[in-house]
Amino acid sequence: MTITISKDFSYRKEEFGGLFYNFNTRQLLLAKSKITVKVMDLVATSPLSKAEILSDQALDDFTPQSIEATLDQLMAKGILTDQDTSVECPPNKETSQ
Amino acid sequence: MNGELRDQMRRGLASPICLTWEITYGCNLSCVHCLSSSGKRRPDELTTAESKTLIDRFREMSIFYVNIGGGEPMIRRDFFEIIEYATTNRVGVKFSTNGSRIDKDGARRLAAMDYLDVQISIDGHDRESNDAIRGDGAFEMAIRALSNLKEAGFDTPKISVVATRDSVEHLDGLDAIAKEYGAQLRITRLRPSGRGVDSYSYLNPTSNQQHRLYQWLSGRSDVLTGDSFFHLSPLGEPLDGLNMCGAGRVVCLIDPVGDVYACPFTIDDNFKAGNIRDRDFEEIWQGSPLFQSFRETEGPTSCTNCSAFAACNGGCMATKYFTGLSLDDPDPDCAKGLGANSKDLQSNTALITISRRPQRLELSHQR
Repeated sequence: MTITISKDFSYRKEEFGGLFYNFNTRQLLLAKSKITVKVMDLVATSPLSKAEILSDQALDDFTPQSIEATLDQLMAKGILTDQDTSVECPPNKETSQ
Repeated sequence: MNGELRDQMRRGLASPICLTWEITYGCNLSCVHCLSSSGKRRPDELTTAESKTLIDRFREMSIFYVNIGGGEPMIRRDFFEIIEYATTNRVGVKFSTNGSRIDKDGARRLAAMDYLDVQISIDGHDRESNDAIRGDGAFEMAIRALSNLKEAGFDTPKISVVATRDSVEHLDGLDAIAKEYGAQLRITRLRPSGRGVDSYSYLNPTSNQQHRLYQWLSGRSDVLTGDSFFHLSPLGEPLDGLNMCGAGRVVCLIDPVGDVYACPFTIDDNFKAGNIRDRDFEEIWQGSPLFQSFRETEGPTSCTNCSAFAACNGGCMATKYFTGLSLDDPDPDCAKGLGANSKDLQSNTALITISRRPQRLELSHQR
């Protein structure tokens, strides 16, 4: 499974963490936990498999269990999805961050 | 919105959450409260190519959505080209219109798009009250647009109402219109900007009306407000939203020729941060000394010791400025009764005297 941001959400990094925007509800959500922000920063750059995320050096500070739990949470909220039901991220999406 | 997040917002974000982009000042109406004094088009409006380049920048900066307005944005021949370019690049669009150009074909085209909100402006519950503000025939064209959108299956358009001395007496009637057309009601604060400078004294709701408006809004989370009534939050539970002035911190305005202002209500040289034809938009947003000064400000000096400061953060900067007040003064409609309009809460008339020559902005007062 390749994980990416759902077409219903946009995400960007901020100094204090990250911001999600839900295009369906028009609501802004805050990402504050370090692990959530790290995972989102990775996935926002390009779609990745779960194995690629788990092995990425950017997440070395976190246990595989906590990374998987974070991925599960983000999937449950509809923020992340498998690529079959998502749109591609714009190529330059995170370059300004 | 918790205090910690609001503090982060006060210090400014890497990019705006959203911004207002007025793509033309051309308009077929001449509303008495128009923020931008719209009517004639500027000959040097951003071209289609410049508009698309700007949208590319919005996408690169991860700006979540843009509020497109004017003027009447749909009079631009490239209107659909612009909004379709934005939404296909996942830059959400909310656009405000008087509805005159939403015919059946246009409604179907809009209904087929994702990431799009349409806001039809109505300023009265019936033809007489609406057209007194927006001009003859305006009510009928707005209702026709709503009807066309409903027929086309557009999902939940918004009816955008400016709170005036008349409209706040008919909120239930306006809500009924919204429900009839499957729309959502949106009520925003009247600002004394543009032609609003001339109409503010007789349109701005009285203090008593503003208190009743707060009560009415408090029970209706389904009614949108554009976070514009935060000056009333000290009256009780805060209304939904940031409850602070986001000018130059989380929002800004880009006008038809690319000038960048702090917010949609501050179209004045004292609030201009730059022009996107001269300088990259992200550089303006992040590096403008004007915007930096806002981000370093805790709040109006006459408000920071107030027990209600955490609720309203001193109110609306534009409303102060265009009523001739210092930015360090309380909001003229301060809910604690400290503003120029609200000192006599029983008064049925606004007490403020409009200054046609707003004072120069003293940046040192912002710190």
